[in-house]
Amino acid sequence: MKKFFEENKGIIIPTVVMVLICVVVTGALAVTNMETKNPIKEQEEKTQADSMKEVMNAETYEENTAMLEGEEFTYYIAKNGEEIGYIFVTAEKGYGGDDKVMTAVNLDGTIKAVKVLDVSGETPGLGQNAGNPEWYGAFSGLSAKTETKIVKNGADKDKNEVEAVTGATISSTAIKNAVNKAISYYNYLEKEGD
Amino acid sequence: MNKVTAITSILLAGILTNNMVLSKFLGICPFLGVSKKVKTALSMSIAVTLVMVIASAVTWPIDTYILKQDYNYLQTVVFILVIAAIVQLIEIVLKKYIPPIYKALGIYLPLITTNCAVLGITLINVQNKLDFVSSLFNALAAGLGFMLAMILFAGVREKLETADIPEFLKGLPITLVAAALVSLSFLGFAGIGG
Amino acid sequence: MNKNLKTLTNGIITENPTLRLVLGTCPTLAVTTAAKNGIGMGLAATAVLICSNAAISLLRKVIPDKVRIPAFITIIAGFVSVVQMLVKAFAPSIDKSLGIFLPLIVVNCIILARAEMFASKNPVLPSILDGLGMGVGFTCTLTLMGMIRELLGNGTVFGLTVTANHITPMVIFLLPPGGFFVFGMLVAASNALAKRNGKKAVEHLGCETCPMASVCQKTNCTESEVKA
Repeated sequence: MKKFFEENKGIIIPTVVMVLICVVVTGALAVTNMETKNPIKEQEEKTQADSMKEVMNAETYEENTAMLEGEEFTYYIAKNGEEIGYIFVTAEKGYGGDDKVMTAVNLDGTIKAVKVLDVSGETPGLGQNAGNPEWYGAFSGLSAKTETKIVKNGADKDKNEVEAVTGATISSTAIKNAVNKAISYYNYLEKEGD
Repeated sequence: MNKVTAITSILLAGILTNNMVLSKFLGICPFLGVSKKVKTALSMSIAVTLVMVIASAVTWPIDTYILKQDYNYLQTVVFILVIAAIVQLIEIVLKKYIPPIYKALGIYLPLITTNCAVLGITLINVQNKLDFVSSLFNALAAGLGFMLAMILFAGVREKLETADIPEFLKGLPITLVAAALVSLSFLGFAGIGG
Repeated sequence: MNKNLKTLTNGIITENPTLRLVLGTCPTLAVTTAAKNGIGMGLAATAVLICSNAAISLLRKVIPDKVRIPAFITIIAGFVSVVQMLVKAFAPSIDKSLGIFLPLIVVNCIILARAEMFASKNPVLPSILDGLGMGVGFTCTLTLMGMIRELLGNGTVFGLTVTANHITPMVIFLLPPGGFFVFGMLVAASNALAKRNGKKAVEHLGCETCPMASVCQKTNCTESEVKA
């Protein structure tokens, strides 16, 4: 045994040290993960709750799921005692990753408000401007009965059009697609409800 | 989108629109350091492409079947260790079985462990939730994009050797300015392939 | 004590990691589209740098030479993951804007380079000071570059409007070419300053500062001017 150790010292010691380092690192990460898991979750929930309050202020939000074309989606019913509208969170592929959007639809079928939650994958200075409230505010008041459109200039609210962010047609289109996804969910729910 | 279009768009994006080096800033060190001659640039980028594809092929199943959602806090540690191990293995295999290739690429291999493009691409693959085949193509595209950028830039630098450069720009500054111009030309691809 | 002070200031000015040693160029170019991102990245890297330098210095007599690099990488990756989780939990907006460059601190050459060249050869206190100095140097350069690019490209500094109302911002400075260009100008300026003080300009990325130099010198690094 001792002889074996002496002969293979060059392999055993490094292996043992590496294994020990890996075990300690893994242990430390597991502890940190346990400690930060809840704050991360709370943080995400708080962001979500704040955004919902922003797009459609209501007393309660009831979480629901439904199936559309074989895919499950989550939606929230905003309630002030009685129902006042729906909130959807959708994501679509943009220039450099998924763009996340929250859309609130009134019961009468108009878009109450849209909030762009995440455009971190877009180009700073161009596509990321789609995250400015001044831009995505243009979706408010559009109809949720038909799809919204992106035009390069001269957007007509009556035609459900929004002007693209300068120099960032792809990012604007991604946001529009996400809003339209929410619109398709809304129309599906409306149809089911009848 | 069918499979072929999807893969074509991954390739186009990786090589041109979302070029690893020129638009995502991954792998800048070898881009600036090993691009003095076209020949070395080519060898380095072949080695990087090889490691990227193999690393993606190994890390994807590890992430999908072992780490899953529960242990994804170990992602960074596991991925970098896997990459380090793969690089070592490739080195040993090449040395033993294909000595001519080892002679050409061998010296670049140890450097690739700490090349952020490799760790970057494996992380991007799992973060964007690509499937296995798309991950491989994404890695291949990133590698080819890296190669294209390296070769173009090496060509520019070979010309710079004989150019008359203002005193204060000599050395690294002029290299960076040249890189700026090369990346400017890649901006022209923006929008291709969605 | 004087020596320790020198170790500390070394990283900030004379051996500024980004401008003098030209390490960690990837995050330098990628995240500096806004001053705030520069500070965030700098501080995250500084935290990792101090911790990994301390840990590696403590373990420097235990880690066998053979597995030195993998051992360093594992330790660094561990600290990076801890920082990543903390940032996610307590500064989610920074996490969003740094994106993939947060986990990529693992392969930031500055950290491995300091582990290899300083922490593995020096006691704990100087190693911590070296980490702090290098980290502060890195943070300052990143913040400065972020400020320049944000001002020229968006007309703001730290999100506050400065010139945006008077001069149309030049978006190109936020795009990749602007990153390369501003970095080039900063290196040129630092070269000019160094020359005035009688020091050599940074000619090209040399082998001396490369963390993998010891591995690759066996295979003649100097000939091919390789650097990772």
